[in-house]
Amino acid sequence: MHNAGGPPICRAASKLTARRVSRHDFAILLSAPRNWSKLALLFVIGCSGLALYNLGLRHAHPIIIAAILNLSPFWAALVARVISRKAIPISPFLFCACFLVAFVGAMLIAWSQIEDSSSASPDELLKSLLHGSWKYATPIPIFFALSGTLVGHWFRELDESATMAANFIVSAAVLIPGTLLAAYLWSVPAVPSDGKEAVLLLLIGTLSAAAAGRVFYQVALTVTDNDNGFVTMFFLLVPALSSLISLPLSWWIPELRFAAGPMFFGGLALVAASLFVFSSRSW
Amino acid sequence: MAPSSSASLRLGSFYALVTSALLATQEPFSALAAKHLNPLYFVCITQAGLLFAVPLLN
Repeated sequence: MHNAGGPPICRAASKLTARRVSRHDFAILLSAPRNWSKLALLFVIGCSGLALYNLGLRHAHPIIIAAILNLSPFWAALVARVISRKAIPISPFLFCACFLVAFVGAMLIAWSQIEDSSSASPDELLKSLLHGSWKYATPIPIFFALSGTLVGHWFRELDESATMAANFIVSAAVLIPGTLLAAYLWSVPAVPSDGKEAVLLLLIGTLSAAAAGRVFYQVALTVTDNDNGFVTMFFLLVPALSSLISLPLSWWIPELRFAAGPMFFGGLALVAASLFVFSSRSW
Repeated sequence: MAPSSSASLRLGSFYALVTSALLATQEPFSALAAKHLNPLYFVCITQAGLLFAVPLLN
């Protein structure tokens, strides 16, 4: 991370230096053979998460998906404890209390956004729970936290943007030819002409969430000395923010909806209150 | 490892909040593609997006 404060000329100079440092670190990352095994392991962790999502959650009830993903602060705190030997900045009791309240809030938000369709009914939830394929998805948040912590642990001296850029190069070098070859071998029909809008939105979402979001995640880990439990606690705001982002998009995309009911605002209040207590006690 | 300082945690909270806002764009922006695209193309286009991000990050 580079300081960009001060007058405009200093900020511009800092930006130029940052870009130079980033390019230098990017070159080091990809050219040093000692980094290849680490980048390969991070790629395997990322792919495992993707494969488990497909196996365990592709047809799961939305509430089960939300429950598994919202457990990420708990797993991240555990990963930080084991890998970085990093203790939670507040008492374990207070961490658990804040996490539980925020988890309930995030689940209420998820429940408030479910469409009244038969596929999302309580009967379907029970059926999905009994089916049990969701168990395969339990490690997904662990893999996400592990990837963030390992990047912070292995590449702490290097620029976060450069580290993530190197990771993106490795995954794209394998997955772009791999998926195109698989599509060709299995004769998967090409992207339909009316799918341009979906492709454009997916690209915007990827640049924002998977690229910029991941870089900011690494910066947050760097400044907190790899305290993944602390950083990931704030991710319980994601369901609420996703719903709010869906509101303007739903005017354009009929498939999206935002239900602004008492359950949504109750859930948001619980998440906000627990994060407020968590932050104020940590600081 | 020593606990992080108060200032680091404050700055970390700010970055974590920005991260949450950025991660929150994933679901609404990919919902349409998840419905209409084959999973192979979904992964391929996502990776292409990450490849486009490389020059922006360096």
